Amino acid sequence: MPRLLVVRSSFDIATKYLSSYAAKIVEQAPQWNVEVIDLYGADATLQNFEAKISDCDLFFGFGHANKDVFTGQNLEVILKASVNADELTNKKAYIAGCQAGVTLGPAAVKAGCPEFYSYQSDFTFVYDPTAYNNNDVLNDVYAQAFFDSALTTGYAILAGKTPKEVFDDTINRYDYWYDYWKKQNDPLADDVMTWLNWDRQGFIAITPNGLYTEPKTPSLLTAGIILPLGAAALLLLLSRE
Amino acid sequence: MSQTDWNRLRDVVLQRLKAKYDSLPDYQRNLPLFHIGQDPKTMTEIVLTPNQAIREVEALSENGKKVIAAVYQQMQRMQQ
Repeated sequence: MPRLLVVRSSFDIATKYLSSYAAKIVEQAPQWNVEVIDLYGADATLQNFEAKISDCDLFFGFGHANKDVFTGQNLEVILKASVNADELTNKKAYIAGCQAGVTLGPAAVKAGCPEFYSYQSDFTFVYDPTAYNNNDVLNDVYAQAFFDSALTTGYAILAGKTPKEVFDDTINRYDYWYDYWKKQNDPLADDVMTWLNWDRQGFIAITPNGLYTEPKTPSLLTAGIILPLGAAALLLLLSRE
Repeated sequence: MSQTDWNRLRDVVLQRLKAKYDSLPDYQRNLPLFHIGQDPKTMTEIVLTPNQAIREVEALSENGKKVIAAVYQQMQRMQQ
């Protein structure tokens, strides 16, 4: 039976939302005959990660990240591109967090990770502060669209889909929620659509054979913050090896 | 590769943001509704209210540029 290691920190707004929604994956993984090791909250530490990762076939990280780093509880560094990206060798990986698809992802794939899914931009969401303050994040009507889309990636990996299928499932889910919000008469609908579109554009699937990403970048922004030139250069190097 | 014309984009996006802002009920204008990632160095969370989003865009700060990019991307998508 394949084993999935989940790291989901929980200590601020983003991680409380991420970890709450990620609990659904933890609960449902056995449906795909996947055994789960769940490092949640205070257990989301480097020490626990290193103790468990070698026994696992899949890795899902839910928490803060940047181009080089994925972090656990209280921002403890769990993975760093130039240090231990090889911990993901032979393991399919998904990091639901900001920008990990820029440098960490290509570094992991270069070290033998067969599939790496994440975002090239900040993972951004709209939320209802009232739902957050009432500990009711799973019923936050705004946030639901973002985290449901993000979970779709995990479900598709658990279902054993190909990288192209995982990518398409995720994009299709973003499109589903985009269309849903297009029909809502809510003052924040436009903002929800804006940031859903942002996350959708930032999602990336990286494999040794190439990457899947949404190419629709406005020409005026090409020199700015959208195109992950570092990732593109690294992948170019990868493809030449 | 061409240089991003942030001043031009700012003007386009500000017009749209202010129109959206006017449609918001008063209580939402100062609520921290937008979680737009975190500072890449300190990893502290960046949370903006609609009011702050407009101010960041006006100031062309790094966060403002993020908002501009997202709104402009969305405007492009709606024209497709």
